[in-house]
Amino acid sequence: MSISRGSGAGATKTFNFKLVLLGESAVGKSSLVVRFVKDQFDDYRESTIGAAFFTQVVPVDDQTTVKFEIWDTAGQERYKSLAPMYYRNAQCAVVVFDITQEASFEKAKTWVKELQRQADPDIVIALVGNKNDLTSRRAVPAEEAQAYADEAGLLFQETSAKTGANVGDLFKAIAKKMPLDSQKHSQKGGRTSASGASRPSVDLSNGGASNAAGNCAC
Amino acid sequence: MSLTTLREQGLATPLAERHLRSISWKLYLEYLPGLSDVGVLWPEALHKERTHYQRLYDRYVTEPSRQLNPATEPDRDRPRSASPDVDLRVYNPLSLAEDSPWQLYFQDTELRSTIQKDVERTFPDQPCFARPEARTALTDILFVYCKLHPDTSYRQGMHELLAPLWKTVWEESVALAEDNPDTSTDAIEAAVFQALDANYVQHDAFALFTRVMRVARSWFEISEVATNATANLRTRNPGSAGGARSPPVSDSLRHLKINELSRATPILAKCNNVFFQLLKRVDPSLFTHLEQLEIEPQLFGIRWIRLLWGREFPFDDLHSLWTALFADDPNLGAVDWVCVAMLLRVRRTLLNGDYATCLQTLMRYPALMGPASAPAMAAPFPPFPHLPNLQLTGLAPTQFLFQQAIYLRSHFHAAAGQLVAAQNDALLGIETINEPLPPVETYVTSPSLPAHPVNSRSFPSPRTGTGAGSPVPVAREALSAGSIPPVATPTTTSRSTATTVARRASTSQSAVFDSRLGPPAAAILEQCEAWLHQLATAAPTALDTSHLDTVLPLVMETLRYTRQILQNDPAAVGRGAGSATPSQLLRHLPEHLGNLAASLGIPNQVEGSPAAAFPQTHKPVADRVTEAFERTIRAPLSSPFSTTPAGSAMASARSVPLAPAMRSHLVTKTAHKTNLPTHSASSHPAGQRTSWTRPSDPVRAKSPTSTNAKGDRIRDPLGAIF
Repeated sequence: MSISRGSGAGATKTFNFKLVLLGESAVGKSSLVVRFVKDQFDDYRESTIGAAFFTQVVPVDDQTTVKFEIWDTAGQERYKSLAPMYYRNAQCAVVVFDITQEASFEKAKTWVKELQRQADPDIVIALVGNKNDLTSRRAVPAEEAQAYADEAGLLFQETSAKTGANVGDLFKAIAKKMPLDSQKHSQKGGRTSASGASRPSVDLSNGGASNAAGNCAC
Repeated sequence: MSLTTLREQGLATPLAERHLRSISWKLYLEYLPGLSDVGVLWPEALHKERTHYQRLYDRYVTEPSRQLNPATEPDRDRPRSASPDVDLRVYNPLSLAEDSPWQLYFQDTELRSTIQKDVERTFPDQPCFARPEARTALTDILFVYCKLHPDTSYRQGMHELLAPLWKTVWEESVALAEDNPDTSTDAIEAAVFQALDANYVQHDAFALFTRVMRVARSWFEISEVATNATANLRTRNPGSAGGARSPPVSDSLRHLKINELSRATPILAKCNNVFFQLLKRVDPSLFTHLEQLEIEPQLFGIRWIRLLWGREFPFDDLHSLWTALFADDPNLGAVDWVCVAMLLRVRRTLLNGDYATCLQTLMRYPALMGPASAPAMAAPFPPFPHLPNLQLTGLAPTQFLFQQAIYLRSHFHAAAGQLVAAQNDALLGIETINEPLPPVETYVTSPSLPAHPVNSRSFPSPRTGTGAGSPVPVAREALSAGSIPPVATPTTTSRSTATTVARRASTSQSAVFDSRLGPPAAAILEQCEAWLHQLATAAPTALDTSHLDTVLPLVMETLRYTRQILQNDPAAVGRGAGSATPSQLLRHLPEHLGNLAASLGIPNQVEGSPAAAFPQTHKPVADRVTEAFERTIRAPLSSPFSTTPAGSAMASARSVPLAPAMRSHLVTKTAHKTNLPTHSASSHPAGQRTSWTRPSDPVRAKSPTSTNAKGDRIRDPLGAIF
């Protein structure tokens, strides 16, 4: 995680978090991100190969902004073994399923288990039932998913990347759930790792003192 | 026309003159056997491949659906399905028996649906892939391929390797009149039409796909070892309560596991090769920058390589790139180099970018410019030394990129990387060349050297000013002049040849040293590299031992002085070059010499002594290199050069102290160079070189001051040489 502090009075702090999207193929992970980042939607979106990378900023309140570095991963089961490369040191994860596909919900549960077992202990996980515009084809009752989320300690949201429903709310909810205690987490961010997740610990981007030459890694 | 000529054309033929691409690809990928005896051999090859696919298609697509309905096909010669004694324990949809056709059916259905999920979203911007028949064809081809290779089966991304192949065959296919297939009397013409037959689009696409996949298949594999390695990154504590987490494995163990993963997974190994082997040597600064940002090559490399850049370039440009790639080598040997060239193409953005900017640039690659399309490009454009007459105007941007890639492949060193970087700058309309130095520690392979943020972050912002007195025009001129071998035709006398080389060396030297603001030690090494590059890019015929007589001593002498300076003022090393010791700096020379050997067509197996790689036929060359190497490098490093026996022996053997000789030589040449802008000579007279320092850079401001052999402080250490 990283924190940016403005130089002047009343400046906002920006917290950087690494967020990873996981879930079965074709449940709408990329569409969700593209809706969130660009507010766009395409009926057919190319399948993600390897992963895609995005950034997006969410204002939490007048003084606080959260910047997500988003890793959108490929859904195919066969590439599962590469997933740790992306969720290593992620501070938040969005596990997506398709409410019209029962199997994708089961798959989401296994992702949650894997994250709880192997990812950062403090990771914030959100379970997302996507495609809720297709209510007539619903195969996973919202109550069931909600109950699972409560039991496993996850945020839960049903979204539609197509209509945009709840997409902004989802990321805002995650942002609010993030630990914004700069003191505690700026230290934690200082540890090094091979994944690049520890970067940049602090950047002074807000006061116009943006340093093109690179971030100070405190 | 020979196949070789055709391959050459595939690399660099302007768009307008291109042949039927599907035929070229069939030839490049060795589906069609060549250009001799076309009338006979092509029909044979086509028939063989098409029959092969038809058989597979029947076996995996047609037959299984028949087997599910044995009653409807009573006449088929299919004992089990046709028999009235069908075992209903096996032949029913609920059977769990492995040989039940229903089990197979369910598996196949799942596979097909997995494939379809991706085929439906193949190149959404290309309308042809939205057609139902296209989707069926792509699905069938992938399905058959997967049935044929059950271990690999279907992996996301294969569909996008197949799609451009299919589209090319489909677009150029010709519907032959069925009633009169043999209208053509010319056997060759008939064979060509046969190769374009619209009835066999699927068959031919499969044939091409299979050939590409011979190489590409491993890029889709994730080995079991790898899976285990990742799974074990955290070992679960069996004693803990459900869900409780075990402590993470130690960092070193983690790294071990990750290394294991990389080794066992071909795509990761390939990404690592691009980054840690190729880029590191070709562009040490860019490598260091990305490494410091902890941007791992697989993050962007997996997709680049798996899809052969299908997401990086527009469809037409992609076609040109694939044509070049296939033409170059049916085994796609240039893939890694294209990745390096792509990194160099965006190096300005990367070097000025932070983590997020770099990743965004690499994962959403910007539109590619070629020499023909770059609006801002100002002449002269630095040409490829080996292809001074390459027609750039008609080249697709990706074709030019490919030229850069194979240039780097054949000239695997940092000087070549600099040329490509200068070309890329020219495309951007940036007039600087020879930007400040790669950090010296990247010349040295020792992993223990600490990263040096000052060096890696010190790239100046692009300079566009060309006012009077600016070194930029000189630099540009010098770059072009200095990079056009062959330096002489074989008929030129060796003396003038040598002079040419030396003059070129002096030319580029003035450019390098005038515009260079970096630490002197590294600059000198850089200069050596440039000289070696001169040698390396010279045509083999022009390279006789007299070249070596002239140039090699220059290089060695420079290195010797470098060492002297470094030894007299070790602090200069610390300031300018990280914590590299002189011996570490000089240790890299064998590698340069190895490059030289490689450029002469001598296998580069340099280990210890570069001369070991020189075969007997190059004995004179080998002797010269060995001699110079032994004297310069093997000399004891503990004492200053002026007192080392080897150094003295070398100086006395020549009877004229080399450095002064070299200096006067270069001064003369500088004064006489009529082909350069005069301001070079007037504003930078020899011996009064422009300042090494930039006021804004306090770290560097100290570095130019050094000490000569007598202990006097000298302002410009290079003044001691030249």
